[in-house]
Amino acid sequence: MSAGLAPLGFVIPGSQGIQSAKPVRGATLMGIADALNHFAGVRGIGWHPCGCYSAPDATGGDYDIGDILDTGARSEVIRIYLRTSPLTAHLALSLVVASYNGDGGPYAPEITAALDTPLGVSIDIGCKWTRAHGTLPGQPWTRFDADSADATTDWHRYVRPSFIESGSMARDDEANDASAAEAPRLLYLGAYSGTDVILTVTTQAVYTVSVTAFEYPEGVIDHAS
Amino acid sequence: MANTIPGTYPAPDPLGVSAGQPLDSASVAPLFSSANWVRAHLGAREVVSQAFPFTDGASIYQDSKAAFAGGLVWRVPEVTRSRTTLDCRVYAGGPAGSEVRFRSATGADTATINVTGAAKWHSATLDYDPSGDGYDTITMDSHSDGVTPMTIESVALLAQRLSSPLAVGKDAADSFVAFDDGEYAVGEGLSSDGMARLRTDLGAVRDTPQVYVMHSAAASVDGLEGVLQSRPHVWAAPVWVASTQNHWDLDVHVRATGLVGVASQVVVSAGTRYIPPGRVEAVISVPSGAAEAWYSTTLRLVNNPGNRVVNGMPAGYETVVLTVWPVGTGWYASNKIGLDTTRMTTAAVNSVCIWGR
Repeated sequence: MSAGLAPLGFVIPGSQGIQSAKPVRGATLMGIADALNHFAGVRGIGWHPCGCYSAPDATGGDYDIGDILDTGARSEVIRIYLRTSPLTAHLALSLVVASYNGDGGPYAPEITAALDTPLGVSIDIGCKWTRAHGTLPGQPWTRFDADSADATTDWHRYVRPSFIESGSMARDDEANDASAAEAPRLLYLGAYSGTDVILTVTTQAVYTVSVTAFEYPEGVIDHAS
Repeated sequence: MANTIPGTYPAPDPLGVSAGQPLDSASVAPLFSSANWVRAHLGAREVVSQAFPFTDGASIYQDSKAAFAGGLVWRVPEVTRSRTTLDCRVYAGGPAGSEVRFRSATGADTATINVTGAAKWHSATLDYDPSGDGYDTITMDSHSDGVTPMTIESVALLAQRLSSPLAVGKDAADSFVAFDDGEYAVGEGLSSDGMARLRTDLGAVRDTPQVYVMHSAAASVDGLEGVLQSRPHVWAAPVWVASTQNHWDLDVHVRATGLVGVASQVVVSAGTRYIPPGRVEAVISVPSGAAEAWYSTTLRLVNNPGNRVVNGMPAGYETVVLTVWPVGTGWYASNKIGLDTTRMTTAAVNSVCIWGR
């Protein structure tokens, strides 16, 4: 095909251009082709938002993210069921997460994302976001008292979630490695595009608000080897 | 011949039908066959996806009730026209007799899954009927044996792809008319009627809703509240706008409960960040003491509505952040320092469902 699969805009032609006795104009047919390609290649690719629940802070009984993260080397396993489009072979991720940085904090935050079939067959061993490699931002492990009534006993920490992403780099050769890649990248569906897959996000010392997976449009991917 | 859905996308080449090119069947026929493909595939993905992270070695969704009660509730739009069945997937396990149940309100269907045993993926199908209001209300609840809790780690409801052959004639839901395999093959005339059908079909496909947010609190589950937790609830959403529009509309449906003795609000914001204020906010007033109820409104972004919240998207693929941030009551403020809490949610929010076109 000489034109892009997924034009970013589309215009559905007006009714006059398709009436009988009117000439068949190239602009009308091109507009229809663009619109179809847009629906297939832009709207048709999957956008998979998943909201995550959390248990309340064990000590405060509330949902103060700082307190929840402060209760130990917190770990999460998040399982997400996805139905993918057959028009793409790569899955990008955007996560909203919170963690502390290294300033006095006792933990080493880390996130791993991987793909499997619903029956547990590995599709992509996955990739990581880590503090060590600078791919997982955090906030200071400092604390303050937000409630002067019990200043001696009830300290709280200040932390807000941040966005992290997989970026647009494809390393399909890493999908079958023995362990997850240290650098974030697009996950590779390969022959499993168009099927149902399981995205598993595993975290350490991280609070996850939401995970959005989206199928990356083919043709605009940075490939590296 | 049947209205077949092509096995692979028969991408039409815009340059092949441009001015100056001969009008031949090889260039024109893909316009019609690709319309069938797009209709069959568009929207066939999750309409609900919610996770209960397995945290510190244990599920946070632990239900020890002996009978169904409470649960999660979503409004699910008509995402794939003329489709009336959803695939249900739930990662769950529990003691003997543990069950997960899905119910549709207007579809009047129930799908019950026995999840006895170690946690794993279970499946079922559920009929739903969004044809009246444009959505159906789906409920998921669960129960155990009354002693040992059953657990859920993930739930998804998925729209199905259409299968060949597509129905003959006009679809009552959206006026889409599928094309026959040989309708525009060599030797067949290019008719005004066919082009008019194609134009109508494109409009039907354009109006297929895209789900951006489906999130419900879990009621009557051990240790979980029946309202959205007092923290930012944040989702990235793509902005898909027709070239002829300068705005982007989102349908917002919120299930909320009023506070006793004081009027409250639900604020749904869209913008480049989740810290209030958003670029655009939909504010839903919830009367004092109001019982749990659904509220609906529209969130409209105008004039170049897209931004680049997800930086990794290719150029031109724009995104915004959708946020609901309940400030809660009686909780500590370490996440709210410096925030204008008057622009945040004060009502008790049970569900948030957002979709657009």
